[in-house]
Amino acid sequence: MKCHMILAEVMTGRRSETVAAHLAVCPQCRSMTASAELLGRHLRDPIVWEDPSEGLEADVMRAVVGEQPVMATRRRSWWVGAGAAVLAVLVALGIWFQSRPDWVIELAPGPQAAGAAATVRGWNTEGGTRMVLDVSGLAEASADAFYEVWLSAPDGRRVSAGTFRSPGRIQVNAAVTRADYPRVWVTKEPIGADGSSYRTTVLDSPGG
Amino acid sequence: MTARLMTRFRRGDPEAVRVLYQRYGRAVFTVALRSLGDRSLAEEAVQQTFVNAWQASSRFDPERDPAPWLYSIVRRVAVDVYRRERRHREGRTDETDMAVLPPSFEGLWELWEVRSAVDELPPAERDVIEATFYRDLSHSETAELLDIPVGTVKSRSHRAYQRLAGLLEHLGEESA
Repeated sequence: MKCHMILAEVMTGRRSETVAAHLAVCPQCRSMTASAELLGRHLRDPIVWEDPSEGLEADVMRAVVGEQPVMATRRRSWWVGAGAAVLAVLVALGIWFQSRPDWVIELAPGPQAAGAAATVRGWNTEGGTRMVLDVSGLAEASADAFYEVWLSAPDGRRVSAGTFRSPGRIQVNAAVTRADYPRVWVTKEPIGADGSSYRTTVLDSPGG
Repeated sequence: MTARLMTRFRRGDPEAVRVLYQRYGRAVFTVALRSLGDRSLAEEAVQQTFVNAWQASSRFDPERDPAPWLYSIVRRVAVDVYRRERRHREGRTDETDMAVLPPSFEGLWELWEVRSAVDELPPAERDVIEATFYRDLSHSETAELLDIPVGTVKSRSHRAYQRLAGLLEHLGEESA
């Protein structure tokens, strides 16, 4: 057997007589035995073979599209601004002309967000729930924080529907139904570079 | 991962995020899952990792390898999620757990590299390695499972070993 075939056998952790005989006379393979065994141990770790759900890519893309990248400061042509304005108007018109929502709820302010309010219009979609929030009375999130919209089930399970930084009209999606996850709430979360986390509920469904 | 793609990412092209996810999403998930021990929390962490990366895209140097950067983001996100869940579980609202790290926080970069190397294997070789190591099957059992000759199992296994050993040759040195 060739050396790489021997080391492939070593990696599996099963040592035949052929492998043992080869290792006895091949110092090069002997010197690589430890790394082959280590590689084998890593490959036996079941977590290496766990894949995320197939729908996660779509969730990531939805979350990303709902966010704006923080662009480097630079001058932009006037038509970029004009185009963005036209696009904003078209998006607003698109939302305006959408069908009637399946449900509407008012969110109440959390203890540390007096004066905040939100009307949530929801549509039960094929993939879960689409919501449009009209948020007022919240300060724009600082550079190291953002707001996050959640749906929760009565047993405490929760799913993030999206994030935003400024009050106004926000559209988010969740891959669960409101029938199963009736509580809609909004928290303030860090974009922590230092690892701190200070979830604060700023808006909540009646009865929380 | 080309600098051209990362330039598109830096300029705010969402499709570049999709390509980035397809290349690194599984490694990000692996690290998040090891840190948090829960699939749904891990997937939440993956989502937040790419959102954070997207929000910081203008500061990314397209000439750099994005892997260590994404790894550092998912590590921070996992810490945040872990602490948040811990506080919720214990019904606490204070911030006295700044030094608390997830229990499985060792060897994460090594795990990232192994996962990335596995993802770089051609699918036929990956199937053989998965059967051998994850399912713990012999060559003949793998041959039966994949409906290929034992000789093919061996040759794919040897090629996969060569690829993995080439990609991960530094692991042994770091552990030595």
